[in-house]
Amino acid sequence: MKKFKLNNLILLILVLGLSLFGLVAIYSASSYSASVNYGDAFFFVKKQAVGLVIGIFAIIFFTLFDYHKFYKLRWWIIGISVLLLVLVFIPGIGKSNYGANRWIGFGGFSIQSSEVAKFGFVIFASCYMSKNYEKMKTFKGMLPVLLSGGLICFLVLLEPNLSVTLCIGCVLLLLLFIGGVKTKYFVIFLCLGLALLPILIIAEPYRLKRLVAFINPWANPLEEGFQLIQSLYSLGAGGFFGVGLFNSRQKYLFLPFSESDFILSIIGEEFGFFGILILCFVYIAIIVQGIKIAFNASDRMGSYLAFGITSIIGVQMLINFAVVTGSIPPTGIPLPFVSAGGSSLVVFLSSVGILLNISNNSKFKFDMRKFAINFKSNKRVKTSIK
Amino acid sequence: MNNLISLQKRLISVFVLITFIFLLLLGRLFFVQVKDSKWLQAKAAEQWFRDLPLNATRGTIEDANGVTLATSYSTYDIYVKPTRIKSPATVALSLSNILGIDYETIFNKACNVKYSEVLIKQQVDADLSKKVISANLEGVVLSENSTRFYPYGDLLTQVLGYTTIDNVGQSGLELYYNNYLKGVNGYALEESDVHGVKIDNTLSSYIPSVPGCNLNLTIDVNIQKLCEDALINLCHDHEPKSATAIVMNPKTGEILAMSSKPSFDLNNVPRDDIQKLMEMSKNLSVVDVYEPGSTFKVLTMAMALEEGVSTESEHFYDPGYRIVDGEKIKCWKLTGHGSQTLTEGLCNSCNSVFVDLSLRLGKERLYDYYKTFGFGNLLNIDFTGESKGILMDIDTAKKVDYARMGFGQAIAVTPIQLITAICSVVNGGNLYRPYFVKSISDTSGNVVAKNQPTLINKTVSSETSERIKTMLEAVISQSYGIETFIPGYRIAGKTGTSQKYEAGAINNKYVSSFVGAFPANDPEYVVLVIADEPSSGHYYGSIVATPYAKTIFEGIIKYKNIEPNGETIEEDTAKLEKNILLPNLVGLSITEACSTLTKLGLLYEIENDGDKVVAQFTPPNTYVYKGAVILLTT
Repeated sequence: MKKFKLNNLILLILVLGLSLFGLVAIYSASSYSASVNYGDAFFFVKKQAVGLVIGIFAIIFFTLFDYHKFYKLRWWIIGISVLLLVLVFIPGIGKSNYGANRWIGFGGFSIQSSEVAKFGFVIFASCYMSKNYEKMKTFKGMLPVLLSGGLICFLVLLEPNLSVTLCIGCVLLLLLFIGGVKTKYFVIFLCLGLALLPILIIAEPYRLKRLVAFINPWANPLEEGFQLIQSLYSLGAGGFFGVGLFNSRQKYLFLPFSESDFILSIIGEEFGFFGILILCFVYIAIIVQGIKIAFNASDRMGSYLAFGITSIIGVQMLINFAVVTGSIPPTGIPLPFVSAGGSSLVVFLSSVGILLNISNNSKFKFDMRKFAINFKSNKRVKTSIK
Repeated sequence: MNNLISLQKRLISVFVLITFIFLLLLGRLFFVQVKDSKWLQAKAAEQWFRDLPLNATRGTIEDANGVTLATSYSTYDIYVKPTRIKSPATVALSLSNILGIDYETIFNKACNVKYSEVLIKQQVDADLSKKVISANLEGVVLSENSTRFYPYGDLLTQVLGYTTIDNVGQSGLELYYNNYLKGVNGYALEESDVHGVKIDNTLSSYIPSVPGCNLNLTIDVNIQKLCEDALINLCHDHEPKSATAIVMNPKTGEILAMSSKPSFDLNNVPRDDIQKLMEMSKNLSVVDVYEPGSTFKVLTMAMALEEGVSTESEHFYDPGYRIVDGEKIKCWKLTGHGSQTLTEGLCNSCNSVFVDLSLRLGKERLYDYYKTFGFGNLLNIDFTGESKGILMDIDTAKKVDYARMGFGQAIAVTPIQLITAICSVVNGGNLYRPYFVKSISDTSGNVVAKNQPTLINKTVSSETSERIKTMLEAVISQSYGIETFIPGYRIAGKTGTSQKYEAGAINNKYVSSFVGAFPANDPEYVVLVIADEPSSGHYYGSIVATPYAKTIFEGIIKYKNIEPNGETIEEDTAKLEKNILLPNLVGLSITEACSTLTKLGLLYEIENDGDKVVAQFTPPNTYVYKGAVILLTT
């Protein structure tokens, strides 16, 4: 039995604090809709609380679970990820919702396959890249990462779920970037990804409608533009300091998905711009901790893994922010740690467990001043790398 | 080792990138939350509050005695809210029991969670609605509506008028007094969710509605019923295109009754056939014009007496026509009335006498009088669509034209204009503005507006008025008017029959009418009955209009409990005793038939120019009273 130790208490506090805040925000956003639709104001809160409890156990488990063991399990992990994504299409196991197959159910519990798969991909890619970091400069060398990421993206796209595909695609690009892929290739991939996006949008009529709605939501305020307009109403009504906790008006069924993908709108309404600013600092702090862990990791695998997890959190949060503020076309993606969604919370908390484990294995302490000096002179900062 | 430096560099640059995008998004957020805040908040507020109109109850309409003629009652529309129903089966069962609607239908509606509200039934009455409310079903909502109700249905149809489904006056008094009747809608502003469900524990502002004012009419529903019944009988007997009756109080101008047929049930407005509806909802008495014919002679007589162009002792000779400006103006009795006094001229309704009187009065004086009587002008009656009538322009009217006007042709008036003018010559010479509404009061009973007798003009002197009354009483107690005679009571009146001009030519369409006043010495009721284009074969006012006016008089006497004059009753009854057996006259020559009737003490009218009698009215072998007029067709 290993002794439970913790090198990065700040991250744990930030993440747990955020999750608890999420619980309150979910209650505020969903109490009315839950009592109207399910007859229980705590319907979503209860589910989220269960997720949080399981998530805390997951943190403990993964903090104690040596991440190096992932290396041996990497094929299993990517295999299970792909399997989960395939299962959503099998009737009886997969659950259809809003015209998409994104969920698989076990009895009363259901999870979103892509939530697991995106972390599965990050683990697999980190394992591969740490072993083959020198090959990463060649196209052939980076191919396993590209193929596994591409396969995951493809399967998620089939569900269909463009937003998660986008998220995984971004993470894939960031991992390739971190893995040392030549700038030439990186630019090509980036361009390919950007070129693919319009095709995917045109392929599905509803995506095109959303795009049009994004460009001018007021043209069709009761149909395509509804969701975005309601989100803007929430944020606008919040103003600088917000209307106060539990005082949202938009939660009275005006804003669909107010407890999940659009919970940021309700937070913005109740706590205002100021409240979101604080929330942003918390997320930035989490990302800073994640990057720090990646920096200080005792080996490449830890570094890649920490970075991959951090980038999932960061990218997903950025996409959510962008959607809610109407900066990109509306697409459904939850806000990490806060949006209602038990499986999402468990998976994110598990990943934080992995981060904490990497942090615990780290033998170094990051020194910003020293780093800055060395950064300029291109000198190495750490000496002992496995 | 360079790899590692590169890794750290790249980590930092990714962090910088994320932070940069983050800052961009925060900038965007600042725009939405701070810069556009006011605007977005205002837009959002539009959907947060539900503005519930509280419809004002429409005012009631009552007759002179306070009997309700039009009122509003509440009905309810019943809806289900599928998303709020836990057990659709229970709801469907209860509702189907109470409302008598198919269980399946309600069940399917209650399960239809696609919609937030589904209508179950409209215009449910208060009793059933109470049952629905007391069943206390979750997810069932009621919305209140006001429905107009006319307790008498098909009575006073054109005068009361009707409203739209939304309670806006569309015709009649409902239209004219709409602004008084409608009241002021209030509203409740309440915080609601996206489906309009009120949010608990929120404040709502509430501005109550102000009910509409109540109209108190001059109409007496009892007299109105007499008119309705009289016209129903008239229509049954003579099948006219339309029929009209008015009862007016000559001392005030109050309209006591006004009826037009055909009509319809106000509770069941035939909205499907707009043209027919427009036709039937037209208040003929006020908006329609007709040639008054002989009833107009009363006015010519009044003018002549007032101006002294003739005396009662003067004798007129009628050969059956007068020639004016080379044109032959026929009297209705083609054989002529021979020599007769002024009063006899009125009793016989001799056109020639009135041609003479008109010519003696002259165009200018006649037109002055017409103006004084209100012809060619609005009476400003409280009703929409009043007609001025048609009075030939004074400059274009030829001698032959105003000669005809003297006996009520070549002039078109509204029935209300005629009765108003007649009222003035029997009430001492005062032309009062006719009106329907006595007073308007709010729900607390405060009178907010009032109509009072308004003297428009002084038409004739009281002496002339007295003489006219005497003459008109003579008309009734003698031959042609005897159909109206009621023993022990004094009635003054005049019949009228005018042939219609259509496209400039006379045709066989007639307007038959009667105007009468009661009691003759000091009239309190003036009655006008008009039948337009009777199709029973009869067209004389004395047959088509007079008997029905008589039933109205009789009804009023009974309703008002007016005692007969004991002194004259015996003599009067004797007058009406039907003790002469009428022989069969068909087949006889005209001269034989006439001498037979004269011997029996009966009068006669001859139709057409033949030599032999082909038909008679009244039929043979019936008893008739002395002096009755027998109609012979040759």
